[in-house]
Parts: sequence; C-alpha cells; structure tokens
Amino acid sequence: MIHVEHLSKRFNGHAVLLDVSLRVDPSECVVLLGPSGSGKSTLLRCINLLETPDAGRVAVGDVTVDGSRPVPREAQRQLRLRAGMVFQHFHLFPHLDALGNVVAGPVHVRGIPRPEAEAHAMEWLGRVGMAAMARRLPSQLSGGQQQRVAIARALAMKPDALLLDEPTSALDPALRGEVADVLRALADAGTTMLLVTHDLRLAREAADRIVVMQAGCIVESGPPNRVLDSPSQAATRSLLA
Amino acid sequence: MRERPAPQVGSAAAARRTDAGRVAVERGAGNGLQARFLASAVGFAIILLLGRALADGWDDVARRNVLRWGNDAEGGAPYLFHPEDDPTRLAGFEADFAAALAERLGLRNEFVQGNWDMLVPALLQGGNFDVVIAGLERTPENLARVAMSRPYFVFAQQLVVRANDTTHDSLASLAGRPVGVLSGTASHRILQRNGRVEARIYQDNVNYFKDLAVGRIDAVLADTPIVQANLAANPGLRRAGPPFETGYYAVALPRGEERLLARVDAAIGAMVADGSLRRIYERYDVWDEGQQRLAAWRHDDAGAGAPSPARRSAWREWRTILPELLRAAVTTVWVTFGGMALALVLGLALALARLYGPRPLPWLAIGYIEVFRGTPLLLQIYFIYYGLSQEAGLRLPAGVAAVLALGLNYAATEAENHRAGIEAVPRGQWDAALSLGMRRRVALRRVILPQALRVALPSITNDFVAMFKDSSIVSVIAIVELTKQYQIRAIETHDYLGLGLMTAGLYLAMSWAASLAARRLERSLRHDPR
Repeated sequence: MIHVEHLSKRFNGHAVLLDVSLRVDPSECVVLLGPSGSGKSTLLRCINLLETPDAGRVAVGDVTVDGSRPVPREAQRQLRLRAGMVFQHFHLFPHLDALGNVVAGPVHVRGIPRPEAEAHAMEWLGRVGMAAMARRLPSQLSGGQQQRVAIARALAMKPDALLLDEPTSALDPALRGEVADVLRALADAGTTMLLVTHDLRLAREAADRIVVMQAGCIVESGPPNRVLDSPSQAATRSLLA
Repeated sequence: MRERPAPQVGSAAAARRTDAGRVAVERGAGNGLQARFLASAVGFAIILLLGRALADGWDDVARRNVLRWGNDAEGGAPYLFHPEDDPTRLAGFEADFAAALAERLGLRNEFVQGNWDMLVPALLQGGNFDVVIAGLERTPENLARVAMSRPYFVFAQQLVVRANDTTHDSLASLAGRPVGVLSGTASHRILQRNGRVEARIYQDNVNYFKDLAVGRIDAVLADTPIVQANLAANPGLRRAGPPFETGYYAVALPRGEERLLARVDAAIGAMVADGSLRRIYERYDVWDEGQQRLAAWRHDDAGAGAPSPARRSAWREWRTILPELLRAAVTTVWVTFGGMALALVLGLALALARLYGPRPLPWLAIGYIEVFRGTPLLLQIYFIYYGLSQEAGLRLPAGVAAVLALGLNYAATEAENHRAGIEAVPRGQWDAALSLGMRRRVALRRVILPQALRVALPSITNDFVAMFKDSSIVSVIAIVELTKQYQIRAIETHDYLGLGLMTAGLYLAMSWAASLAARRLERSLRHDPR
C-alpha cells in the first residue's frame, strides 16, 4: 500500500534520510520508532511530499512518484489524496468548527455536496467520539479532542493509508489515552497506518510491525514482541531503556 | 461706528498695570527683588503693548518700507502668473498694479502667496501681508468683513460654452446641467442664487476650462478677465451671451486702517486719472470700455461700518446648513466605500502576486507598491483626472477619478496589510490544507485567507477610517465632499468654530460607525472565545 524505495533527503547538505526503503502492506499498522532527529518525521513528510525527496521513489496505492525529478503539482495532489496526514500539533483550521474541519476536504476537494458531506462527517466524528462536539471551534476543544477531530478530518478523505506524525506527543499524559484508544481501534479495524510515536505502550498494542530508525537509516524491523522484548540493535535498546 | 480695537488694548494694559502695582506693594516687604522684577517686566510689557496700540498699519508699512500684498499665484493669467519665458518673474495685471500702487506710496512691494479661499481670513488673523490684491469683489459681504479701497478694476460675468454647442446661450438654458465656477466668487454666488444649474466648484481658474473642453461640464461662469485670458488658449470654446452683473475688484485691508486706506485710495485715484492703470490693463488685454466707470467712482461706503462682520451662527442656521453638510457627507461616504473596495481587491491581487506570483510578477507588485506609496495622493489625483484626459484622451468623470485615485493609492497599503496577514498564518495550516489534497488556490481561499483577514482587519479598519479623512482631498477635482462643503459655508458665514464642530461631528459619526462595524466583523471572525 505504501512503498518507499531508496529514499534520500538532505537539508542544507546534512543527510536526514539515507537510502531508506520501507513497505506498509494493506491493513498493516507499522510503527516507526527512533530517537529525535533520526528522520522519522521527515520520512513521513516525504511520503506525503510536504517535503520533496532528493532521490528515491514513493508509491501510495496506485500513485508512484520519482523523487529524483520535479513532481508536477497534480501528481503531488494525487499522492496526498491517497495518504492522509495527522500532525503532532493537529493543525486544525481554527476558523472552522469540528464539522467544518472534517467536511473541508470532501466539499472543496472532492466536490461532494455539503449536506451529504456533513452526514458522512458526522459518522467519522462519531467514530472518534466527537459527534457531540461537532459545532465547537478548535479553540473550544482540548488537545486530545482536537487530535481526534484531526484524525476524522484525514479519514473523511478515505485515503488508502494514514500517516501519523507523533499524534500523542503534544498532549498532556492524561489526554493521550483517548487518542491512543482511537488509534488502536483504527488499527484493529484494518486501517493501513504508518505511525511515528515515542509511546512504547501504544506501539506494542497497535503495531503489526515495528521499524526502528537511527541517523536517517532503518536499523531494525520486526514484530513488536521481538523488537521490543529482544532487540538486536544497540539503538533499539537505548530507546527502550 | 465700531470702536477701534487699539484703545481697548491700551486700557486693558493700564488695568493690568494697576493690578500688578498692587501685587508688588502687597508683597513688597518679603520679596522686594521679586516684586521689582515683576514690576519691570510688567512695565516692559506695557511699553510694548502701547507701542503696538498707537502704531497703525501704515506706520508698520512705512517702517518696513514695503507693501506686502497677498494673492494666489495659482489664480493664473491674466491676474497673476509666472510667464513662460521667465518662470522666476511674476506677471499679470494685478502684479503690475500692485507694483505701481506700492511705487505711488513710495514703497517696495512684496508678493505673499496664500490660498485664494483663505486670503481674507488670513488678513483678518493679522497674517503676513498688509493688503489683499486678488480680484476681491467690492460687495456688501466683503465690506462687512474687511475695509476695501476704491475699485481698481471693473468686471462682469461671462458664460462660456463649447464652440460647437449651439443650444446653450444663457444660464436659463442650462437648467440641470453641470456648470463650473470658482469657489467663493461672485459667479459661485450667482449659481447658488440661480439654483437650477448643477454647480461644479473649482479651486483654480484653469481646470474648469479644460473640463469644459473635454465635455465633463457644459459651461463655465467666470469673471470677464478670466474668460479673456483662457479663451485664447482654448479655441474650442466660445462666449455665450453678453457679459452681465458688473462688479468691482478692490484692495482689501483690515478694518480700522484709515491712514493706509486713504493713501491707497488716493494712489488708485491718481493712477486712474493719469492713465497709468489703463496702460497696465492694455498690456494684458483686459482694458475695455467698462473700465471708464473707475474714474466716475464716488465713495459710497456701501457696507462699511455696517453690521459688524456678519458672522452667522451655524447652529442657528442648522436647518439649512445641516442638510447641505449631510449631502456632502454622502459624497464622502461613497467615495470612501468605493475607494476602499477597490483598494482591498487590488491590494489582495498585489499581495498574492508579490508572495506567490511567477517571476516578473512579484517585482511588478513591489514596484507598484513603492510608486503609489511613495508619491503624494494629490499628485496621483491630478494625474488620473487631468493627466489621463490630456495625454491619453481618457476622460474619466470626477467621481470615477476620485474613487480610482483613492483606490489605487490605498491598494499599496492594503497589499502590505494583506501580506502581513497571509504571512502570519502558520506554515502548518498550509501543510494541513495541502495534505487534504487541496489545490493551492483552494487552500488559499478556504484556509489561509480567512485567517489572514482576521489578522489584517485592525489595520484595514484603521486605513478605512483614515480614508474617510483623506477623501477630502478629492475636492480638488470639483467634488463637493464634506470638507469642501465646510469650507464653502465657513467662508460665507465666518463661523469656523460652529461649522467646524458640526463637520467634525459628522466625520466622527462616520468613522465611529465604521469602527463599530469593523469590531462586529472582527468578533464574527474571531475563533478563540474571549
């Protein structure tokens, strides 16, 4: 479903991603672990083309782009339509209420009539437990509530896969649980996910496979039990310490 | 007879001296030094005041050995102008008359530039000139405010139309049509009295002929010398009907300057008698048989000593004045709304071009912003209204030109407001919008601009209120908006204070309403409950 091959990215001459290859199969939930600055977020943003890779190929669903050449805007857009994104800091549209945030994509991108889009949006909000707060502005919601709306917003576009960039990191520990519950439920329901997180409990519970990154490279990959309980790499061990 | 102010000043000073003396005595025991200082200071002041009170205008003029005369060089030919062959020199029949008059008085002469509208008020304020020689009419209205000499010129009203216009030959035939006049002149009063034609009020003697030639107005009513000088330069115009309503130009001085007035009268009499005045007028081709009346002049003192300066209260006449001001305020409102609407739309286009446009566009936008922000609005108005019609044949109606000028000028500022707003939207908003698959245009419209507007709104409101006030500048292209209406009425009634307060009240009401509306809009755009 997500297929990354030989992806490289430099910022000002500093290599952030070095020849990274990664697969996420349909309905699989892959959790990316790694210390800060290891390139996890950049990898996610390159898959979505919010960052332009220097080399390598990215495929999501039926769209493939070659990062070594300039990607036309329409191809970028097609790729983004297939890879929904959830950000660490939610990035809800502050001038729209929860419902408005969720229907923005279906209405303005897919051209779905607003009443129909709103009916669907209410279902999505229901799935993340936010239906009762559909008319609240982001500023009237807690961080955890905002992040659940952001997840509904990404899902409402019916992407092939969901990219989640540390979705619980900006939250108070007390609020992480409600978002983690939603993510677990999505994984259980067979949503294709690539999840970057520091939350080892979430990783263990949600992941079908765990991938560990360090200094722009993938250093370990395997089922959660093996990677978390008997890590083969020093980098993984230091993460777990 | 009105009491001359001089003795009053003297007696007031005397009264003050008595008070000061008593104070000095009372305090004498304890503060001898201080009291002596106080007494000498007061004495010095008295000498100054007495000296000032006893000397009149003629003494001042004689001591300086120069007669300072006020006029407005913008008045143009044949009154006062800078000749093309030597722009540093002053020419015109009034310039030559002023020089000859000063010479008769044994003085040098010095021209002082003033705004024509404001010459008499400036003279009354004890301005920086002794007399006004500026085509001021010897009318009861003027005589009620200032002293006036015997006339130095006889003029009449002349209607002018386009040469190919065969339908209009009198004011009566121009009912409902736009007719240009100079602000605050006899012609202006005649149109007000007439009431049936649409008066277009100009600030100078030249531009209404241009507007007549290009068809923006259908006629001009002006004094004969103005017509004389301008028809030569405008072959497409012709006199319509005979001259009518004879009047006299006279030298204006402050009231009470009897000695100066007597000398000026005598000098003019002599210049009329020996034909030197006629020679000056023939030089400028403004001599006609009508001038014979100058010799037959008898001092009738019409209006002199009459009801003290007819200062009328704007408050008492509010029934007539307020509706006029309100009508003018409507003009201010639509010029401002039109201008701001244009500025906001064009400003947004400029901001987007600057931020996201392909290569040459950002430079062009920056160039536009710098040019329109860096040159005076007044210049831009003249350019759009007169420059375009002259050079490009683009004849914009005054209202369109006004809205265009204000809009184009403010667009530069609004572009920067929009840009500041757009740049204040966090980068993450773009990420979120693009990751949903929005095209950049859609993201801008649905996500970025609504948030940018909220940031820019306070500055925009500020500019909106500023434009209410700046819009007064469009009066230079014969649009009577609120400030112009104030000026017209103030010159007529002399109630600068009462009218000023009324006008200020209207401006305040408008800008207050604007800020109120803006605050509501701000609140509706706000997305954090406070």
